[in-house]
Amino acid sequence: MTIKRDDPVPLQRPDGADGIAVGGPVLSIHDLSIAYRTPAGDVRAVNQVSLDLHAGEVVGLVGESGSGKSTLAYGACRLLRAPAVITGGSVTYRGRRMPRPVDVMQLTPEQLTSLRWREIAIVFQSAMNALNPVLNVADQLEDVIRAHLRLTRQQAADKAAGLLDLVGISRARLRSYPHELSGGMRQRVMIAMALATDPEIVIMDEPTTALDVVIQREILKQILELKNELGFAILFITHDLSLLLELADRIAVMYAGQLMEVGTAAEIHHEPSHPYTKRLLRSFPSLRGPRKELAGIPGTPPNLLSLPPGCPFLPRCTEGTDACREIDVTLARVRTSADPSHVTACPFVLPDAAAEVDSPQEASEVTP
Amino acid sequence: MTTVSAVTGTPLLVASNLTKDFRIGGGSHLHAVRDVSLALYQGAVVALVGESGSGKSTVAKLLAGQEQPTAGTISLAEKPVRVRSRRAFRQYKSEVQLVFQDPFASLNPVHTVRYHVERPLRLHHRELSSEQVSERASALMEQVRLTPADTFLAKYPHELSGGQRQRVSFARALAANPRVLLADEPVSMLDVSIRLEMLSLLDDLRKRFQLALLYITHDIASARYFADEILVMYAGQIVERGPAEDITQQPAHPYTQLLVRSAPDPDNLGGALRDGGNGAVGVSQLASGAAVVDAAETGCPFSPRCPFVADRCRAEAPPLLPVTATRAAACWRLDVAAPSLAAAREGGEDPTS
Repeated sequence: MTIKRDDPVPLQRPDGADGIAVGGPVLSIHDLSIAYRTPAGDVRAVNQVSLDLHAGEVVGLVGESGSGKSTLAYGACRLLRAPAVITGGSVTYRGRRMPRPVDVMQLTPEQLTSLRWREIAIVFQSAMNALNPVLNVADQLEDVIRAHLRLTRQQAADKAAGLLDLVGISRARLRSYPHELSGGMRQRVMIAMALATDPEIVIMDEPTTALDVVIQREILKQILELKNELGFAILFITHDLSLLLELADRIAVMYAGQLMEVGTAAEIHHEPSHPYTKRLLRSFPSLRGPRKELAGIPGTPPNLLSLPPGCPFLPRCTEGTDACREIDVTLARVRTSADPSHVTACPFVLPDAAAEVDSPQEASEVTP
Repeated sequence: MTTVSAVTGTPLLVASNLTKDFRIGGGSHLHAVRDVSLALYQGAVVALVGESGSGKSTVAKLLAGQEQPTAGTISLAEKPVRVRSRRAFRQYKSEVQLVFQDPFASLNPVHTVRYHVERPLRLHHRELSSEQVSERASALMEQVRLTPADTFLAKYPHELSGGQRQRVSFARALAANPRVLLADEPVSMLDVSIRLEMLSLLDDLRKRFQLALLYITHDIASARYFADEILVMYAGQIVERGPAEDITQQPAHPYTQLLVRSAPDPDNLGGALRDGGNGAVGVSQLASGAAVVDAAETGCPFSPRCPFVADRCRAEAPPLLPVTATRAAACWRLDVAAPSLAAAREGGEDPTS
């Protein structure tokens, strides 16, 4: 991301608009499709994904490498460059500082610059490389602050120091260079930087993957404390489902560019519906409780260049049938769940759900 | 003290009081490994668990003969190991092989899989003819479940997924027909969904080749499932050791307790992380200040972070003392940190049995 030194062009933001309660989600991704154009054809990295993020909510996005989770998050902020192309869908941002919903797809480059970071900030993967090695911490923090907020040098310096307080790093470290900080401290600086402009949404892309468990836990705890204090929403991207179960309010399970299941952490943990979610849940060893039988997920994700019709998980699915080749991968309500927002892309997991295909009047019964 | 691994066979690779210092300029030394003793048994898995910088990988390098210990000895099948010459090193490597963490960096991008697997075969088994080498390579590929073997042997590393590359690393290590395999974080670069498959493959290879396996990891949960014995390392020292299930279910040393408590707990939905309640001690106290506290130079290395710290801990380093018949911990404050275990030690009972 390039940071412009000039004052940003403000999005329409009338005085006194701050703090207006807006109903509905703060970010709505609707039917978003993203492809990477290659000589061999389009790699459909994200395929008609819809996901809502509500204010103050932690939504976890989980999937294997190459499942499209980072592409989805970056695409929603229009951060992708060619050969990535957004081939369809819309993204709507409804911030408290916005008088009306913002259609992210229609923004001009200047408007995008003020949306990014000011409204939606990102903590990038691998904090080791995301900081500039030749600038000290204060310079980098002040750079962000002055690029996005109208503050004097002195005010920006005070704010940078305040941000370090926020993430529990001593102010003495302001003059430190990245290589003088531990991995955990660098990650905290990245988080401080993301919070510099009081954003409404913070996207965290594997923020703790490179860290040790003890440090990871400290940082996650701190992220949640900051979230409760400042009220931003978090889209947390990771391949570690066990972490999300503890951390997230809602979890979206992604596979081959499509969402397989979305539900609350409790629903995903205790009543998983999609076979892929079930296999994911059985693929990490638990430290507590009785030893459970573990099974990985044999096979590899499909080639997104030539995705066969039907369910993309079919080749690795133990419950698959011929009918799976025919289905449209769309999310539908899990019938056994009391929560209408618990949705799955697999229509065949439950015997009575399979019957639903034949009896539409029964389906209308469960509609709330 | 006996170990769980001992029941499965005789010790194959034994390290006694290994110490490794690195000069870091200005006349000062980094004590990467301090007085570490361990034994690897044929057909058994010993896990070495600790955070970055705890010295786990240095132990692996010492055992692999890539670094010379500052003090201490290593013996293989009761013969002392002295890797001074190139030839001795090659001889030693045919017995003790190392698998690295990052399969993206450990394979040479300009060579095919065939080159990676056949080269150790040629180096360590000079008696083999070209046909035999080729046959062995195919057999190895099947053993690490990369089939059809010929297809995979012809590929370059960039054509393989992370899991497939790590399988090539396993095949390459096994090509020398070693008796000891040192696996340094073999699955931590891989996706969660394929980690388990790789560990079960490694377990399968251990059984089939009766390997003595050292599994180095920072993930104590995987060590619970995969290892017979766990050694917990902190600041270059082993602070606790014992059977995997006992260590993870009833950790004695305050550091092991912190490690266990820090692992994600899916059954605790929105629990400890959110309320800030993390048991009596640990994480919350650490979060306030610097994330990584340097180990103490004198006394117990964990004392700056330890919630049970007393004057004696700062003055005098605790030795690794038996807790039960199969466990040991290096802690002066065990009676406070793990009262039930300490009581059992006083009473001479084994609470874990």
